[in-house]
Amino acid sequence: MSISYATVTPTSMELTPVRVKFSGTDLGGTLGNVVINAKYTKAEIKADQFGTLVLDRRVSGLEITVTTELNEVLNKANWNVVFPHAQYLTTSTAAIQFNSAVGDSDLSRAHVLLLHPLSLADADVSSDHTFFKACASAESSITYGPTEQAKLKIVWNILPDTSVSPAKLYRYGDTTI
Amino acid sequence: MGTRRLAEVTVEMIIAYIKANISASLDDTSADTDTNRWPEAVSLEDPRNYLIAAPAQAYTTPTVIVYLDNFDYRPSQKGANHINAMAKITVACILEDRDLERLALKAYRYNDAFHEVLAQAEIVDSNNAVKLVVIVERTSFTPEFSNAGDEPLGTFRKELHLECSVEHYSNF
Repeated sequence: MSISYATVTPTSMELTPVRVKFSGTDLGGTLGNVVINAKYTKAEIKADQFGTLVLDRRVSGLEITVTTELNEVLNKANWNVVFPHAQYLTTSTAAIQFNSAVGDSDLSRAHVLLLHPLSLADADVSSDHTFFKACASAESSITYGPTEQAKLKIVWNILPDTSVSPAKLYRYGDTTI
Repeated sequence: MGTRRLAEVTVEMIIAYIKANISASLDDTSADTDTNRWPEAVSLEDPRNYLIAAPAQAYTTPTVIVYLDNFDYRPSQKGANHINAMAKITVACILEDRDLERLALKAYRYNDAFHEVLAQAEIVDSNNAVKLVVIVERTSFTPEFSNAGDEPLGTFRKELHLECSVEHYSNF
């Protein structure tokens, strides 16, 4: 038996899918989980006198991505989220057309990405994930076959919202506090 | 030494959660006007018994039996400094009716109600010492059966079994 114990709070543990909203629109069903990656990249501070020993590390950047798979592939609005540089034709049955889009800006296509845990009521935003400027990487593989459900993989790159100081990228929790 | 809250507490919490929520869910299912449902009226009364083992004696239906099939502590898989286990639980509901078709419909509708209650349910005990998250994996239905042989007016029974994986978090 253990001789001592950690202070473990089961109520602080979580296991839940999330609702994915982009620019205020619920993107519907997802598969393969929703994965958030965040990394402060750092530069190493060294001195010849200490050889290769790292004396310090300084933040040199911030990389945040959100990855999932959208399974409502017949909804062409979802294609427009995955491929924001493609042309979205909303008339009739709608269509997505891939044109040359050289020079098209990610930032101009970026919108708020919001993840809300389904274990919480809609009004409880205490564990929401808000990405202030998200734009899809615009690369995906779509597989159709007789045994596996079709889905659209999406990787959002998170850009800084420079309209505020300091520039903000992502908040876990209520955005009003 | 920390007191363990494992099998008994898990089963008790699930039964209490079903008791607290199944009535409203059955009402939801009864009131559902989806035109894809058969139009037959089927009474969905609240379960009368909640058990943890199949009874040897006669019992009234609907009866819910919560079986704990196994409790996997996953020590090498999770490497946790607490109990981070996966319990396999079967929630069975025994139903009866004199009409075979209505009995089948009843089983489908109880399945809807139980799934609504249990799928992705997060359950915390009154001491905040145990948290459960229920994942409903599948439902299986038994054939309709009768103890009355070929008696035409006999009562038939049918069971539905919701097989659940239950994440269990608690302290050592």
